[in-house]
Amino acid sequence: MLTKPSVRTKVKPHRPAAPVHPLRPKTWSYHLMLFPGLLFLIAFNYLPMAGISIAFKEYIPALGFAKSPWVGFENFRMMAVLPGIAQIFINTITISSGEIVLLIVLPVILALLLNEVRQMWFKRSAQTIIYMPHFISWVILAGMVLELFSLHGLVNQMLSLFGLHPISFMSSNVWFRPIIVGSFVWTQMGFDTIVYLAALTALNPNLYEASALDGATRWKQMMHITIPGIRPTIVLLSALSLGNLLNANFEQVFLMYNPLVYPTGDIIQTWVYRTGLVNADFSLATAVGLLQSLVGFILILISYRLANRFANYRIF
Amino acid sequence: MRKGLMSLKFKPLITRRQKVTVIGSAVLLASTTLGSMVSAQTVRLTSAHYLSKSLGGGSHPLSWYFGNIKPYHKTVNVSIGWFSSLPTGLPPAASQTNNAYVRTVDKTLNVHLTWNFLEPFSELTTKEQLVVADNQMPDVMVVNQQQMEQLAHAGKLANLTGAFKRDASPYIKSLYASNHDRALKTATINGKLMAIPDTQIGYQWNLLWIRKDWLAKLHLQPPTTMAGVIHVAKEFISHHLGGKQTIGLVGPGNSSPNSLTTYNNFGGFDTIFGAFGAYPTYWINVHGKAKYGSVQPQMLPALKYLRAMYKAGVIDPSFATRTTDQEVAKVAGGQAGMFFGPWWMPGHVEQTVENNPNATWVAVAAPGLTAHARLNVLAPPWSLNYIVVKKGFAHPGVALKAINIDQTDYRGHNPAGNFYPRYNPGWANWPLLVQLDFYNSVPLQYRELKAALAHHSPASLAPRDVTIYQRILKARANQAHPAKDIAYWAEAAAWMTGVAPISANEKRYHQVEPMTVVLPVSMEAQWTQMQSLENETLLQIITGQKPVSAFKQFVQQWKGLGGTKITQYVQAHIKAFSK
Amino acid sequence: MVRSRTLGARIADMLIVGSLLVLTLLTLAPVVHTIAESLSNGAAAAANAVSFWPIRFTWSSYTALFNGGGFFRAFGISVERVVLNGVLSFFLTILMAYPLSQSPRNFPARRYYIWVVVFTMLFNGGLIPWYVTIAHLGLINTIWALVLPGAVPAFNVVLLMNYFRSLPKELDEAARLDGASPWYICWKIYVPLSWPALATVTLFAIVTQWNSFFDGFILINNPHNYPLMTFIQQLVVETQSANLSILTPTQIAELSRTSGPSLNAAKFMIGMIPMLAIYPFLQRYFIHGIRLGSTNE
Repeated sequence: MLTKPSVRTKVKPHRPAAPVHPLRPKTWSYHLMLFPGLLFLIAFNYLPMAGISIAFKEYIPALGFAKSPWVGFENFRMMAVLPGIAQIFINTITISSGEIVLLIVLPVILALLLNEVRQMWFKRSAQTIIYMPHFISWVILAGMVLELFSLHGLVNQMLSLFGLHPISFMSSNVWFRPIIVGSFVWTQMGFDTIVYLAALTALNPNLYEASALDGATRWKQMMHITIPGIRPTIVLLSALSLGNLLNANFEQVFLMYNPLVYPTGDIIQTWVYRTGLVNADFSLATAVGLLQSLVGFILILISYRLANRFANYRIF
Repeated sequence: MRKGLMSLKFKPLITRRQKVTVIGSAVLLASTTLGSMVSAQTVRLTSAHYLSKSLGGGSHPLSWYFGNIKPYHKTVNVSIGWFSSLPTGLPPAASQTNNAYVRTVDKTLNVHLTWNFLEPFSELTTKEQLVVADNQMPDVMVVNQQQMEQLAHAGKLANLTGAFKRDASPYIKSLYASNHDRALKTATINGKLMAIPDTQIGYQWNLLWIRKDWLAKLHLQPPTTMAGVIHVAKEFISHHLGGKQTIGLVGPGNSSPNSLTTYNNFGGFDTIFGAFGAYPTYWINVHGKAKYGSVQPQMLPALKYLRAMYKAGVIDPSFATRTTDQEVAKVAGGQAGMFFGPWWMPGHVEQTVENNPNATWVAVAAPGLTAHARLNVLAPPWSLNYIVVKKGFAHPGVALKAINIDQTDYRGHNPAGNFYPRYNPGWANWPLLVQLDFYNSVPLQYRELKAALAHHSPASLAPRDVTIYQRILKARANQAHPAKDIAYWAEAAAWMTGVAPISANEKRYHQVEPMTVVLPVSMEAQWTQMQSLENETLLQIITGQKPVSAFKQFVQQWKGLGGTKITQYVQAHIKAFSK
Repeated sequence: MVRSRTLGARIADMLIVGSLLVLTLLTLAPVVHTIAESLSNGAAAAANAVSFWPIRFTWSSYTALFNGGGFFRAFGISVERVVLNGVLSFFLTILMAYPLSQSPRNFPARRYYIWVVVFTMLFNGGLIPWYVTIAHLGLINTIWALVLPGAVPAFNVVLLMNYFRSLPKELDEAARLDGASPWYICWKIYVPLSWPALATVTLFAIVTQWNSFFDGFILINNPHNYPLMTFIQQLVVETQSANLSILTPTQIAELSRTSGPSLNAAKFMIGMIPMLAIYPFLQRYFIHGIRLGSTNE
């Protein structure tokens, strides 16, 4: 049977506290269910984590993981003195915070706009179209973006219509970050409205009817019913996005950057990739990667707490 | 724009465009490219007596070319890791792992090749680092200099000293000897040869290319001094030979961060800087110490000179804001009278002739300040790619034996050669091969072609030059209508017009060997920033947007941004390497 | 819902529809541009003459692709990885999400397991250990190297778990009182009620698999066995940067026939069409299927 899925946030249990014992399931089934998945996580996620150890070693590919000598915190000390490293953290945070802010503001506006559309066919088609970029591979998206912003690409052709000189966008340290942020937001914005649209459908229609009878305009309805209604969702998603502060999109940047824009576009993951695999300084790369993971972990813990505290919400 | 014939064959393996796209250290290797400790030295075209013979057909027995190609008694299985080529240059039924070349090696040497991996050039280094980490290095693979050194120091590579002596054919040895075995030196660590290096080809310095038909119209001679260049440019412009917007001398465009100098590429002002002993964007040897060319005092007079040229309207007023392709387009469109570039440039600007059958080009050695001045030019790097063999592999000579075969066949010395010259499979598809040629193949081939053309007989020519000879004849037959087959025109003009001035002025050239510098990734972003500061400042000084005094500030800024540190790193690194 | 039909309201309507229309056009523009290029004459596309309408219309880019074997082999490999991973991750995700959706009261170990899952989203050992592990399992250069490492998408487990948690607790408890086993409850009660979420996470898994390119470069040793996105990326990179210097003029000519903007555009189109064809049908599920968490009890 396919029931209409529940859109209420949660059904409150209306029952007296039941005795625990007869309801308590036999947990061995649960362990057993988890077992195959855990096996995969161990094989493909936890075993490779042993590699983190080389953040504390001087890894020599020819010697392998086990035989490379231990160096303690040498790689982290190195990280502190290397001048380029601060810049990659700055680049990462600049790009990701731009994306985070825009991906909080724009989807909310977009969801509110969609919510006000009366023609259902238009609403549905608009939704379908704005979701689209989310489903396209970065290989293709990056190819399209690079072509659009190339020296002879469509964007420069448009500029020349206004008598402007062509701009070498993809090699410009002024333009690279805006293009990365902009194209990322372009691909995710539509899809990120989904959560807000879900929250909007959960709002009680009676409130609108009552306020309409009171003579409230649509603007007033939006300000006093709709926005307060989705405010918890906004707060929740803002808290959650904090965890992404050190995560710019590797695939996107990797496919779109070039050495000319390293000063503004080189992010932690691309730097780690090049340092480790192209420059073979794998220990330093792992140390930087580990630092990124640790900070990310702390940020997730914070956002978990924030969501729990201010939105009364559990993520996991 | 279409690629010319020649432009493809002689460019270094890492092309300029690649510098921007390939990730990682290869980028810096190329942009700060360069050879090693030897400083300036005068070059001679004829470096060894056997060379003059070696290019001729038939003056050596086939065994001289083939060397040791004895088959192994038992089939030798060789696993290799190589770069995958594009799905081009293969006959329909062939693949990169099964084609005429592979079968020839198999049949001749009793060697069975297996491919551990084929990886696109862009990801090749990554893949190699991964298989080395996994202890699964194939028996033979191709790596860059940095990887080669790391693998050698980690004891992962076979010592090829003995194999090279025994198995490399006299022909292959003569290819290395043509540049004094320098390529081999880069692969020699603690006195042992750890890899088979490729060779880079010399003599591809910038010439000054001039519209000959324009000179004739104004009854001018090709200039022999920089003052002459300025005069000719002014005449071209004032007579509107390329229309109202005539450009005297086009520039390199700004397609790369070190656009002002472009070794072996279109448009660079290298020779003007060279005239003042300045070598911007290269690491050079100053009294035994590595120094960065762009911040040396010799830059100042060179910048002043270029600034004056720019002010006089001699240089394209928009060169600093155009891309290289746009500058090329100005030449191709018949709007410009002169440009700097190496001998193979006709293939780059063939559209000039295609569009206008009256257009003709002449090339002269890029002039110095006086008519007989020494011509300061840069040498190419000694080597860029290396074939390495895994330590413990029982037949370390196998790659050399394969090279003996494919070089002989590729150059057409084997009458029974069965996969050349049909480019079938094209040589990008051949495993176990890096670029090998005589260091001075360009002027030598030219000299022999010239002689053969004078005697109306290709009999004395090496087989590969017979093809060129025939094309030159076809081009001459087409002289009235070069556009009929522009590729013939381009090839003939490259060889006969392009190489001539190099050959004629050989004694005047003074070659400076820049140093190969591989910066660690941690310095890349900083280096990029310094490069853009450098490029911007130099361009602004030349175009008059900044006073000449800005150069002094730039040097200070450059040092403060990390120049001092990076210079120290480079000096230490090169010292360590020379030990 | 009663809404007034005043002039102001109509203007507001127009503004809303207008701004959404602009946005959808902006979203469509690059794709339309790509379609136009793929259907244009190669020379016109190379000259950057194409904007939003094909110039000298031709199917030749597509016929060239269909005639070249490599592209469809890669397409087939991508389909294979999507199907294998889709099926596998479907079951594994359900099997993990259900026990994790239990309250700590029912399943005390849940609090540890959930961190085991979440931890994998944050930490990794880096590329080399990952590669070495997969190599030691003997998966390199097989389809399983593309399929197995992503068999448990942690994010999808969390999504589905949250969906399960949003279903009424009484279902579980009542069934258990009737003596149903956890397996029965999971498959016969939770799964049938969770189609929106299952459709959503399955779609996510499919999209991730289809769109991945990097693992192809790393884990597959021969371009012959590349999945589609790796194959496309390889061609794009190679033609931009690679060894033009070592190709012969004939090869360059051949290359310009097999690359060029209009052919690239055709590759992009065929590369994205499968996903663009699937998602609109599953669209109605997303809005109900995505649960980022649940309110505390």
